[in-house]
Amino acid sequence: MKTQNDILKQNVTDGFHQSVPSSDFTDKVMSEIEVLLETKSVYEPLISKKWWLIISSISMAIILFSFIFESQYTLTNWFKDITLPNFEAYRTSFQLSGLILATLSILTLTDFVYRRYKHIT
Amino acid sequence: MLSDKELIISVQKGNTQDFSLLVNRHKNIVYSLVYRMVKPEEDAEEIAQDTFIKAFKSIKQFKGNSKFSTWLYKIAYFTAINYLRKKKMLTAPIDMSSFENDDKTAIENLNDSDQKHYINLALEHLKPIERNLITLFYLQEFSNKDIQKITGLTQSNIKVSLMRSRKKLYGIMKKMLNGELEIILKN
Repeated sequence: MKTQNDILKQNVTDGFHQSVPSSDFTDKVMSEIEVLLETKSVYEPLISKKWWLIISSISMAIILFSFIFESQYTLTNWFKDITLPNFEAYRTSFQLSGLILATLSILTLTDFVYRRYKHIT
Repeated sequence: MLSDKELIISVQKGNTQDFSLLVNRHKNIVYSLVYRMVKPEEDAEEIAQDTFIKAFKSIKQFKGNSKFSTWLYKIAYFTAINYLRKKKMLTAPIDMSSFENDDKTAIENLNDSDQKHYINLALEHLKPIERNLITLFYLQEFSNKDIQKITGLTQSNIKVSLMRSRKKLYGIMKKMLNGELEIILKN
């Protein structure tokens, strides 16, 4: 004779295997995943890692290169022993670096705003 | 047929369509587990779908330390609990503490059809977590370790909760058979 525990076990098991999801369950899940993947692809950055690396390398090269020039001027009086770089000669380099940094800042901000407000249309 | 592990590696490499094979393989158990805790069917199905989407989102973090099925059922379990918390449905509709009586003879005297009817009715009056624990315990698919991983409970906690849930269940059935529960529910 079945004990109450056996009866409970049998009924729980039978009931469990009787409940099934709808026939299009898998299709619904996969279509939601497709939407998810499409949304993810929207989040690609405006500047790829490769280009960030190239831009950074060029910027660093310009800055380092500018310090290789020898100094033409020295400060008199108190600081006469201290030699400073020829800023006149570096003007173009500084301007160029500034321009690059400004461009990078604008692009970073644009990227941030683009990501932040992409879905508010 | 590819194993779960092989399919997971394939999905992790970017073959998204292979995930549908994992869904097909596990959807019945995930849905049934959720349905034991969440009613109606539409909500249970939505939570089961949400479980698979969460699993897909985190599949790159799945290292294979446990079985994929256990990992998936754990997501299903906690997604269902979160849903019940939001809906404030984690407690049973009425206080069943007075039903903690394990007279085991009453149900044994019924025929199969009546047994099924009363057991299902009584299960509905347990808390969703208790109902799920009883289900996990009786199903052959889950070992004790699996139940621990899915619920996050310790072995001793599972034993105690299971004992209380069964007592409560038998108590509810006894009251039902005596016709007392209907009067309580009506009040």
